[in-house]
Amino acid sequence: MGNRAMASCTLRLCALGVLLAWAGLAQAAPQNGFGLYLGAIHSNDSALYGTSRGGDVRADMQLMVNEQWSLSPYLDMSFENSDTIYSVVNGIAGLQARRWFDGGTFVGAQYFFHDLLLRNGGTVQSSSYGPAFGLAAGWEGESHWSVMVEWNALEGQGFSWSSANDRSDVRVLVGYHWY
Amino acid sequence: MKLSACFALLFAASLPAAAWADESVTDEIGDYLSGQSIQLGAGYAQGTFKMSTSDGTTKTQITDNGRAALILDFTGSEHVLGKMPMKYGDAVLGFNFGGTYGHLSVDKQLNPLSSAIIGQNLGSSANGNYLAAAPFIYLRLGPVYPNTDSYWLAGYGLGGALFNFHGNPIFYTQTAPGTYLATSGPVSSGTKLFLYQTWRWQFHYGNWDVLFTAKQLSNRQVMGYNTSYEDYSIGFDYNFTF
Repeated sequence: MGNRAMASCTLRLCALGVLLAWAGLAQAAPQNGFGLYLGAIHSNDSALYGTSRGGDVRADMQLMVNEQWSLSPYLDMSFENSDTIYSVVNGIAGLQARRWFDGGTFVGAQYFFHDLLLRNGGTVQSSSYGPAFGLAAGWEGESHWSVMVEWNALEGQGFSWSSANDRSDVRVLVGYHWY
Repeated sequence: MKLSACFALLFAASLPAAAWADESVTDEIGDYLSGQSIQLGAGYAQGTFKMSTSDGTTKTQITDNGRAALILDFTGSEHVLGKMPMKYGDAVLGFNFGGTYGHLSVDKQLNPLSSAIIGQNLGSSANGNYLAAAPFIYLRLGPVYPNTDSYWLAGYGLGGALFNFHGNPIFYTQTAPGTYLATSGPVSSGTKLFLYQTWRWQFHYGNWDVLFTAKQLSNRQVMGYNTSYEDYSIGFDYNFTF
């Protein structure tokens, strides 16, 4: 499946997730549990490849600090097609903190370490890596389905070791937690 | 170190200092980690041996393109620096002392015409061994599910490694844009002390771990070249506690 087809598929999944989450609007408190997410991503890196779009898959562990706060370590992989000859694979290991509000909505911030592989055909042209930060907002329903919008940036602005890396991205994720 | 500063930032941001827990609260995971343990397991790893001149104009990188790898680690008892109660269990900022043994055997040369991470068989190679030890600072959260011995842990270690190697790498020197001069020659080093850094991302359940590990030996000149070895792995291991 091409990255554009994957992006289209993930967008449909997002819509489905919104519907499922909406169906579980009656709110129960979020709990500890493993989660899986699928979604779509749009990224930009003026130094490396311009603009790219693709699909995103994530696994996390939601650990409640109390009724208002949670911590979620996560692993994430995105597969993207850029407007140039390059395709992009970006892997992330991160930790997201969430502040929960009534109704199951949350805002969050994440710190993560990433490795971005720039591919041309079957050959990896470069590997650029480093730490970065991001923000998130979302909602989790009683059905355990959730929807999240996430923005990650700040790379190439003193936080990354990879001087040629100036990436920022926005992703929409639909997820499910088992608890 | 820049990364350690980043981890410190992470820990500081993640653990509200005002909420340190009462140490008397029962902590089953803490009890489990109060002993020493040996981890024995297997994984998939990629190691890359690197040498470069200080100005970066001449360098070599040889990798193994990925391999099955033995996991043999020692982990000392946990020392708790801070603890924050969570809905289930605790968030713990702690440290321990760990050690590891590793074997270097690489023969796929990374070069200006190759992939950035997958090397080619050009007749070059490097072999060696290292024994490393470091204090390891980490954040652990858990249990993931109530009343289970499960936790997530991520941390950073900074210490020393005794490393010896020998090899026959190909060095590349850029003479003009897109033009490189390749030279080959033997290199070797007796056992020397290198800076050792390690990063770990781990999920623990029962006596088992799933872990992503990065190890780096660096900050040493050999035969006039800045020399380093990096190893990234994913694997499973079993904990023998004592």
